[in-house]
Amino acid sequence: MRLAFKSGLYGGGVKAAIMSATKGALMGGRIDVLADADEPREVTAPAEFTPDGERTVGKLDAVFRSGNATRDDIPSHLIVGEEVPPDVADLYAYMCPAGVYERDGDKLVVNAPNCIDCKATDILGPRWTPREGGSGPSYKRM
Amino acid sequence: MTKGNETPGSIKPSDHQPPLPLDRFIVEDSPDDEAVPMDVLFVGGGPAGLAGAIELARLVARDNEGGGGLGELEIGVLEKAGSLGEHCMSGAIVNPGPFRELFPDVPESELPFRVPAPKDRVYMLSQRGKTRIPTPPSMHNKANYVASICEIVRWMGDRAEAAGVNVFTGFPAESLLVDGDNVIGVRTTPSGLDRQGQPGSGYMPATDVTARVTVLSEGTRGSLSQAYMAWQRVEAPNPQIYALGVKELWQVKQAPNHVIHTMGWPLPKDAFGGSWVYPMADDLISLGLVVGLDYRQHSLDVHVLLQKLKGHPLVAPYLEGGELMEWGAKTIPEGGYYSLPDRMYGNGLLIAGDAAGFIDVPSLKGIHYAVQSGMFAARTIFEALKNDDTSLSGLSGYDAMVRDSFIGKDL
Repeated sequence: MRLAFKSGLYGGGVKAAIMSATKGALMGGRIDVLADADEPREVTAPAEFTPDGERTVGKLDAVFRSGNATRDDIPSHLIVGEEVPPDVADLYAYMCPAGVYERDGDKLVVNAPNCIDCKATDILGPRWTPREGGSGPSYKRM
Repeated sequence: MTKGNETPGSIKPSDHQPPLPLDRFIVEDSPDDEAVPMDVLFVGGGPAGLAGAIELARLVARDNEGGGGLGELEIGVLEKAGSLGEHCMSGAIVNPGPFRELFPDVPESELPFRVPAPKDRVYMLSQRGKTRIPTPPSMHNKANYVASICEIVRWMGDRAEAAGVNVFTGFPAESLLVDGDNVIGVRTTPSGLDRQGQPGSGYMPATDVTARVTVLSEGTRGSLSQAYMAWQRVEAPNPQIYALGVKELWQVKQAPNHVIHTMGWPLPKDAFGGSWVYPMADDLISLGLVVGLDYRQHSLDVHVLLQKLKGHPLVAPYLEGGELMEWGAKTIPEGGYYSLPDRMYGNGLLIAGDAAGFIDVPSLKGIHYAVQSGMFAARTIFEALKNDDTSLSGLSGYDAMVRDSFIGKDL
């Protein structure tokens, strides 16, 4: 049913309602989709956001709350493309919830120890590979 | 790596993505002399891997009691986190069905869940307002439970170990060890490397673990599952598509007495997703936001959108005077039925849980499919071992078992 929403929330809502009402008999077939990495992105201005440190947190505080205690001098486990253009570096920086990627001037900076293994990077950007055991978050009640 | 086919102001992420490092993930090599011999190995100690290990241990024990002759089997679970559950994240509201089947001797009240799910409320949000809409039938949570997947997995781990399963935590699986197109085990990731990748203090080399059957229960976007499918050219009618969820756990004065889901703000209209607020206890809530990774605006930031959501009049009052306890993020395979691989088995290999894509988006659930698919994997392996055939054909019954079950039907 997720595929119906490829045509947007409202059109998708109508299709999904028909799928539900007919238990898949109508519009329940396959809808062609692109892999997420093949969907083009429009370069847009970011939302303004300044964390207040109480109700809202920035990405570094957030990673601390994930219990991530990966050692700082671990080799990077992320395979980054060559010569990442600035707009693409920004895409990675906005996409990554853990602040692994940052743009510094025209360069992409990779803070690999921040990674919490959510795998979004492997879907849209640099490849994720395993790193030493015990790295990453230590969720307790998530 | 600038590509000529991009229009100005537009990015296609795949143009800048390095290829999957197949030569690192698929290694044709004999296991070393100190390889740890297992009969069956589950890669990933989440609900799928642990359910599979528990079910298989039970089937083997029952067979041996009945004089079936399989003998003692070594069943292993490899987990990359330092201890079980630390890399698991989910909403979560859980359908208890497969847990009842896996733990028939445990009364439902003693299953590792928090509270029965209260009534559902679904809202369409605008920046300041909310409109309650009827709950879609698939989203009703009557008879389900609010739970923490970390707690579920720790509890299942205790039961697995009590059943004689070898649980190895702190061991990521780096590569599939193969012989021709047979999967014969895995090689783990070394630890104690310095920044340049050279052995430093506390260096521990890779360990080889062999198995007659390796089950990839790696979770979402599993690196070895990706590699196996690329290497064996296993395709699917559709590519798998994903969403990213960011979640927070809050200690609060008073949790809501409803299961809350929202659509609309703060997401732009061209992004698919929504939020949740679940009461885990009178004073503890889980809240989060999920967005499809096909979003169109390059500056969309799911973490920032969740921070904005917390200021909405529907959510903010619950957080007043509360404290952020934990934060996390995880992707979710959302493609459904048409993104399931054409085969989820191979020579000496099965794929289970999120790694295979067993998530149902309309009901927003995956944990019970993970548990059920782990059990199906165990039953398939048990039959294969009885028949002494763990080849592709010996394990091929798994796909039909999955597709004919409620997993295939729901998806």
